Amino acid sequence: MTNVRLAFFALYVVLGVIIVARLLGAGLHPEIVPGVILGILFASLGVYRIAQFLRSRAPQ
Amino acid sequence: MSQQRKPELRRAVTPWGSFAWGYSDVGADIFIGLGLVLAYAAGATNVAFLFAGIVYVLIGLAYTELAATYPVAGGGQYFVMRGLGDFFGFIAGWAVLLDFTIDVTLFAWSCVDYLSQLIPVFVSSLHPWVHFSVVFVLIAGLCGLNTLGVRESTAFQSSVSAIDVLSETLILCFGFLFAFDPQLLIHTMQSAWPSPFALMQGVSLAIISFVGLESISQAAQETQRPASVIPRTSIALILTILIFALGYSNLALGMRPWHPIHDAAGHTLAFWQIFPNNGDNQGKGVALLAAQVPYWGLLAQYYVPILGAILLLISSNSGVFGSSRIAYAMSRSRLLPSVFQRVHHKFRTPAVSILTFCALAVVELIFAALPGLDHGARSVYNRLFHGEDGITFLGDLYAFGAATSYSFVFLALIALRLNDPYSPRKFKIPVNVPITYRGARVEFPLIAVLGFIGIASILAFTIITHDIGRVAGPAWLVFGVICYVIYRKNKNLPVFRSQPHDWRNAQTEILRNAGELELMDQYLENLKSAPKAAAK
Repeated sequence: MTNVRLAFFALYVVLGVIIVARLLGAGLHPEIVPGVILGILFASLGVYRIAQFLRSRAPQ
Repeated sequence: MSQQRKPELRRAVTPWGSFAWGYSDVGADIFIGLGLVLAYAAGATNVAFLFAGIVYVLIGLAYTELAATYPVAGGGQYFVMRGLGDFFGFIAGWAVLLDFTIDVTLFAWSCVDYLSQLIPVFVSSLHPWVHFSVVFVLIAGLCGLNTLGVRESTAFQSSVSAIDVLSETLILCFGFLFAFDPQLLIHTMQSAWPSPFALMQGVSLAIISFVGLESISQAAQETQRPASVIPRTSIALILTILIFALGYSNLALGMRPWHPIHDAAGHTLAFWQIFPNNGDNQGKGVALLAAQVPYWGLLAQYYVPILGAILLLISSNSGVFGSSRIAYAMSRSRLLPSVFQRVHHKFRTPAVSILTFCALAVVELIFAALPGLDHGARSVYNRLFHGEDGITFLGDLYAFGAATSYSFVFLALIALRLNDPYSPRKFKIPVNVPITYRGARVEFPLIAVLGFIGIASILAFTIITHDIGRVAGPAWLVFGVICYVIYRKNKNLPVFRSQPHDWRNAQTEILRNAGELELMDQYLENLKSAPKAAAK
């Protein structure tokens, strides 16, 4: 279960990176800004959840 | 400290439970918001969601600070009463009550819209009486279940939330990997950019995708160690909801549908074009999008309407439960007549409150459904309200109630920072300016000012762009204020001033009941060092 949860959060990071990469690949237009923010948020949430999860598992 | 009182052992909500509680309420909003915003903001849908989302993050941070500092049920109404006094506490609570009753109708309405994806006889435009009857039965059923005291179990709520988070992530994964075309997104935004008026309309509807933060504070009273748990779960909740809203809106504008969509004349349509002027589609945006996602759509077209309907029904139920709880709390604070405290002798539920607000929800349902049910009514609506359909009418009022109560919450946050700097705040919204106020060092929250400007502008957009919202919303507030004035005068209570409150003892009690004993000691210590005039 631990691995599944970590994999799920890692998926957030990967998806966020893919979204940003694809949008930047289309060229630098103002229209991509909301999408880039989405990608960054996606990746950030993944990192945040992974860190939160690891912290809760760390020995006190 | 008195040793006779013992902490109450009723806090059983875990961190995940706290997240699921909030998610089952706020998570359902995007199921309604997506279609509505696509219909009005068209090529700027993602921008509308981004603007509303930024305001929502600020609201979420404000609620997180307040709920962690004052972990009591009652939410915005309690914070505003404590920060700004009884009168404004009443207005905020009254606006929340409007939202909860709209919540009951809007979510039950949209629940039937989602089911119509699988059961065509529920389509509102084709069978308006069937649609109306099913929504009515759902509201009546929820009213009955709440009167009997039956609630969905926390385990069920948590399971639905977990399945939905998984499902939405998979839809976005498949969508962004196999159907998303960045060039199409850019083209759609350039070619279908809306007028400023339509964009304002879109932003005002986008905020409904983020309504329900009351649940953070509702959960606070039943959460273990709320001051520590609430900030953690809230931040995850806020980010998750924001990501889904931004994800769906970007995907909807830039996706190539798996199955080509054609209009009546045989022209190929972009996905977002199926929403304008189509109330049926607006009510089930996520189900339509999920069905157009390659591969996963094969499965999603069947389960998303059901999952959406369940989530929407849970949210509708939280409207019934929440309205009766807020009315009960307001009645105990002598903001509403004591009849709303009356508990059914057998079922021990606030039956009068439940029945009153469900009856109000039915009135709203009739008003929303009337143009579809009667041609005469439709022509009247067309003349007076530019033909707004049922779901838009409900969305208008929902946005109005939320924007009003959230505006007051920001003001209450600022007032509490100034007037109650002694309550320990385990979580503070960032960017604060230290100042001296009435002899005490306080931190003025700049972000709350920004948040207030943001939500006030959304309130202004709602009033400017929604013909029904600008009449019915303020009319609800005026009606409430008249009732409040009559009630307070009858009871010989101050009308615009507050009755005496012992907030110091109340706060000690709140922290003791929450099991936050360290914070309670810190609070008492802070009070000792406070200037006498300020620590009242």
